[in-house]
Amino acid sequence: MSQWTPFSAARAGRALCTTCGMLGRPVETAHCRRCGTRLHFRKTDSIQRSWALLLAAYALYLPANLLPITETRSIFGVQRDTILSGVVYLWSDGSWAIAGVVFIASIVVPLLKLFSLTLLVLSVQRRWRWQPLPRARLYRFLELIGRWSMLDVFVVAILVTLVQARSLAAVEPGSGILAFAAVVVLSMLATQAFDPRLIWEPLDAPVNTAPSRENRP
Amino acid sequence: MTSDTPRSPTPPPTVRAVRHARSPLSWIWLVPAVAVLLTLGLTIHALMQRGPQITLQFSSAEGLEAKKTKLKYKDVEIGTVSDIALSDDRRSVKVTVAMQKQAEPLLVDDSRFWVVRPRIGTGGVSGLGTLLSGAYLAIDPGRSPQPRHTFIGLDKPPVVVNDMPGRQFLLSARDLGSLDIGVPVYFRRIPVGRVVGYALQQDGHGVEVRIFVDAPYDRFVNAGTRFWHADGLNVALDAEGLKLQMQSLVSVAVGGIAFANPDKDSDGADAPAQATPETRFELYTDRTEALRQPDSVVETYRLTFDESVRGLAIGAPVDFRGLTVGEVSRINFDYRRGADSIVMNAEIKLYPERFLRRWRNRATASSQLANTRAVVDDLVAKGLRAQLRTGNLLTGQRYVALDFFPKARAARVDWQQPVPRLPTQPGSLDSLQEQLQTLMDGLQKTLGQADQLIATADRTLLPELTATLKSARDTLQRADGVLASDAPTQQELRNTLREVGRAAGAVRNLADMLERQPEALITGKKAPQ
Repeated sequence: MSQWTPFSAARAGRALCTTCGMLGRPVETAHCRRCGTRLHFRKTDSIQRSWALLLAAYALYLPANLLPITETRSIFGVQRDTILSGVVYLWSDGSWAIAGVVFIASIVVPLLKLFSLTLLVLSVQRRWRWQPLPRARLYRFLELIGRWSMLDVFVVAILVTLVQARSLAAVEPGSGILAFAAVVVLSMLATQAFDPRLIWEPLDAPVNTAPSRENRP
Repeated sequence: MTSDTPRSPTPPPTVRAVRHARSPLSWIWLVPAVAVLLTLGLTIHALMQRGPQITLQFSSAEGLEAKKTKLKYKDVEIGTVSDIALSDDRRSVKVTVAMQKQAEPLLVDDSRFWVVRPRIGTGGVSGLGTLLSGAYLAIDPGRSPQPRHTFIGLDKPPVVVNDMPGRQFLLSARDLGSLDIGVPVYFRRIPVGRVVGYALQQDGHGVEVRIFVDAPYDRFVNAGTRFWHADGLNVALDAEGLKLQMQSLVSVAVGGIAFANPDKDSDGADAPAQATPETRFELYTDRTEALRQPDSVVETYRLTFDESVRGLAIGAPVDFRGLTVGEVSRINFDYRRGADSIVMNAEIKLYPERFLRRWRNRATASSQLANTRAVVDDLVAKGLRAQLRTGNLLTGQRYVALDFFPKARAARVDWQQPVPRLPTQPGSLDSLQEQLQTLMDGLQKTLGQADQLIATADRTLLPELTATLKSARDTLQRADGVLASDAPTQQELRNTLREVGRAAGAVRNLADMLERQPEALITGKKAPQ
């Protein structure tokens, strides 16, 4: 590992334009010569932004799960459902498979996503050299599944628009779904703000010179 | 690295790029700050909203569900049932309700809780909405300043809740009649309230009925107001005849209470005072009884009758020449060993005010009232007597009449006895009956004697008569034999008579001859020529 010294664009003073893909020299021209996009060696404030968005997502995860996501008004009265109460209802109703799917998609996956991203950001900040390839795969996986958590939000949106039988029954979105959507969006943004190239950066430096970053040529 | 070394005089771009981006506080931190603030705000809000936990005790948890059933006040949710469990003695159900913060002032000492379920009662159908939505808890907040968190729930919803404008009144009645919680209270036939509760009096001698009169009408209830059972149909048959009263069809079905204020006395008594919550009203059985003038002075007298008191009922009127001045309060009899008869006792209550109210001179009336005994003595001396009379010939109802009998034997009232005795006079119909009885008795005696006479005659006279008749028949037979045409006596008699006829003819011839020849007597008969 220590002998592996890959060639990197940043080291060569080059960076790809994120919009048009043209190779530019950020040191000479801050903007892409072709399309004018600002050029960066790495995503701006990647770690800091990831942290901020992650923390926000963590903060909103609590209300997302505790506040009701739907408010069903019917002649039978008002019923407020949180995500977990929906899962419990499905489970007690005998629909174990659906309960499992909802539980995994709406509770486990967002939480795992947050934890995984935390792990990635932490590892990059600490310049861990541990298991870079699985970490990179984890990141790709996170990017892939991120949007699927929005399923809940869409279900609620569809329910709310479909079930509007005036006095008989009406479904209204609860504040929990807002928080939940915010969690999903924030975690997606956090994933986006994270720069996977940073996973490899500590590995680029030879092991013996790693501590003195400033002395690097 | 190898290719980049020649250009190394310029600082490493990576480092510069990174450094350039690192500002002490990036705007991005606004996002978690907002999120944290939001969450904190929500948490604080939720904590603030969280009110006290209260425990309600119900006899049954029918329709209640933990975490689902709400507690509502004016149809606003102010709490949710968090737990339902059996009480420690397993006789009732303990329902724990998590209240909201805003509900805290409602949880005071006299707050009441009940379960709203669909109900069909006398007042109509209620709680229909809960058929679909399920039962919920309701609260009637009290007014006490004393907070409380443990309550005993009502089994039935209260008829009147605390924030309804109006007043409660307490009535005492002899019995409940057909009343029930929720039955209407009428004033001039307008439903103005309802019965909210009843209970047996502590000593069991009556019933206390609690009624609620709605706000604009409660001012018509004053200290002089009379209440009566407006039982739909009131049929009374007494010495005063048949009475039929009817309030309204609703009250026919469910009963009710009516009230009215008696008309003012013509000479204007003071306006009655406002009723206070402590005022207790009497609940009369009917309108007539209710609207009678109140009798504050009651005097009890004892009447003794030698005759039967059949037809005299407790409550029968005591009548003075058509005015009802009292009522019979007790009927019993007196038996003393050695006494020759049993006397019937009737205790009457006299309301002397009723006499006096009609007196012209009120000043003397009140002074007379103070000196009742003298008045009674005076009246008795003038011949005032009590008498049992038949009020209704059809039913045989009797009443006590006070009247003057100038010819009555002199009597006095003995005031030494605990219950003074008024002298009585045998009843008019009764004396008639007695005379009739005597007459009948005499007749019966006469008839008995006649019977005896006949029996004696039967026993002694009849055989003799038979013998006499037999001998008479013999005599007659013999006479018959004598008198028959072919009997020898007859024959002889006929012969004799013929002989007598012949003799008479001879005599006639003789007489003729003598007439013609009188000398023949001497000369004898001449020979025929």
